[in-house]
Amino acid sequence: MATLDMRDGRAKAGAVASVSTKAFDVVVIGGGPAGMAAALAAHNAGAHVAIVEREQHLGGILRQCIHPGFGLSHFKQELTGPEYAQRFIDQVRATDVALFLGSMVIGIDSGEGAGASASGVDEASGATAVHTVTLMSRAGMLQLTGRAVVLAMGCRERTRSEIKIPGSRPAGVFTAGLAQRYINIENLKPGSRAVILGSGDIGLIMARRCTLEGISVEGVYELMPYANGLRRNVKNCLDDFGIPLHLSTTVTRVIGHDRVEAVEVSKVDEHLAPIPGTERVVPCDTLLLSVGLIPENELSVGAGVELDPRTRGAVVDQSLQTGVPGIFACGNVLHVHDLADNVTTESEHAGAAAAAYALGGGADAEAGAPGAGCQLTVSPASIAGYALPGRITAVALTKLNFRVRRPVDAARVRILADGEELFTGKVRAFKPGVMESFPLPAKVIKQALDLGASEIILSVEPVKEA
Amino acid sequence: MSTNAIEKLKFNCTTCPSECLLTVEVERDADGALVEVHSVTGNNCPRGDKFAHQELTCPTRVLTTTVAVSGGDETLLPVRTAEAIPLALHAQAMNLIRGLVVNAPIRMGDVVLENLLNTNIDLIASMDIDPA
Repeated sequence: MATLDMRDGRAKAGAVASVSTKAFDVVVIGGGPAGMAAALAAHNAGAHVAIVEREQHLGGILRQCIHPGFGLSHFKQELTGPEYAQRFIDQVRATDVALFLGSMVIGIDSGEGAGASASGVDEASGATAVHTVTLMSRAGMLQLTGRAVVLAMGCRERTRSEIKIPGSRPAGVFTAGLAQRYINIENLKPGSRAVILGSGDIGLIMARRCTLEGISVEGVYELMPYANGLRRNVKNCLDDFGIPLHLSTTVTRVIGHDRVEAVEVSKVDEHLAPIPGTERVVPCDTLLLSVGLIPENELSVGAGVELDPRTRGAVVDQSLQTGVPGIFACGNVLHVHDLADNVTTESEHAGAAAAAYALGGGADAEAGAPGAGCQLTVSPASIAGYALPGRITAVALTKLNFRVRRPVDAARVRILADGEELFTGKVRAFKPGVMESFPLPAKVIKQALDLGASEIILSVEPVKEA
Repeated sequence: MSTNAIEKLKFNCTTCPSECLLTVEVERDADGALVEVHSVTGNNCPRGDKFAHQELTCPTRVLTTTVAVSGGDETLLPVRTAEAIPLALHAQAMNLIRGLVVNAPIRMGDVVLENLLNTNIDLIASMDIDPA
């Protein structure tokens, strides 16, 4: 009834003029680990901050990640996901960061005139454009204005339709994270006999979780010739329970009318194509998919933010600012991370930079002077799948993140500009499951500029060991 | 005694995110029981050595699961053992924990079950739950 009343009220008042507006320095979209860390960093830098979260609670996906393995680097002790989240929730609650829970952002307007309705509050903003974040909650529509916006919406799971598994379309096919939500939050049992496709961390974690809850796990099947998840998860989630991991094998058919009755699995060749004659039918009532994550960037695109086709997250500079001035991005909406601790570190950086921007010091106030004429793009090469940030606009120590596309026992990082090698790293092993980082020294950036280069190449090159 | 076999095992240390690949040389008797850990290599810090010995004698893990909540704004409370408990006890612990119901409000760290299966380790809440 309340919603109907709201709608009537708004209709009478005449659309947008009736939407109330609240002004902030920094508006953070998403209340998971990325959003909370960004908000706290922005708050600590003196900014007036809001967090918008679509769920009723802060914490994001950590609330359903009840397993341990969090906090080893940030808190120097092993925490569960909810504990890791609760520590940040407590910190946020102890500040005056404004919380808009149960609120879905439906658009970010960074165009000219955006935020005009808040002009009374924003007289001091000078030339800085103001972003308007429009959100919906049970109470109705609301607009928040921010001189800076931090995108921290996280990512979502790839589904059956994205990997195109043939067969019938019965109930019982879930993404692993959805099954995790059913079991850990909603107290629902998704099935009793499961097959898991994909050896990503969520798939491995769910193999253990299902087993503990009395759901038998027939096996984990992985298209690639190696496990995708962290080694600790293969060991603690599969080996501990004797759950088989079938590499170079995939699900080639879903069988069942109303409910999954079985899946057909096949071995694949070196081109990842199923090998005829290797089909095997595995009886089960549930198929869990752990086949990758995609940054959730519909809002970003709507705001005019350019995406990197490799990460499917925003193209950002060294302060994690997107191509739209004043809009920053961090966490899994920027690129899919391996560990929540790394999300926290990155998001603190984004939050501090957003506050610096909003408070008038420029996003690089903390990172040294933005180099006049420093406009470098960063591109990956060889087995580096991506490099982030994609743009460097300041001559300062810059943390480069990347992932390799396949595991190698011996490879090294090379930094190149205009065909010249500026840096070579030590030879070591690299795994695609690990998000790597490399501190790019200011002097290397300076060298690239001195060469007249417009691009820095981050190459990870396999080497033949003697 | 001459029937004792030397075996080389490889597994990852899971103490920290480095996940060092350990190579462990163990001596087993004719029944396959562990006699002695001869050497641990591949670890980049002393914790790897300690982990390997623990893993071969009595592997322990933190157990995490959920318990039902009464009167809270969530249906389930995530819980954990305060410290790692023997892996061999996990199935028995799950049977015990499955029947528990706790009343909201709950604060992170609250003891849900004391001295789980006489391990001297408590089952504790992983998160706050407010009243409905």
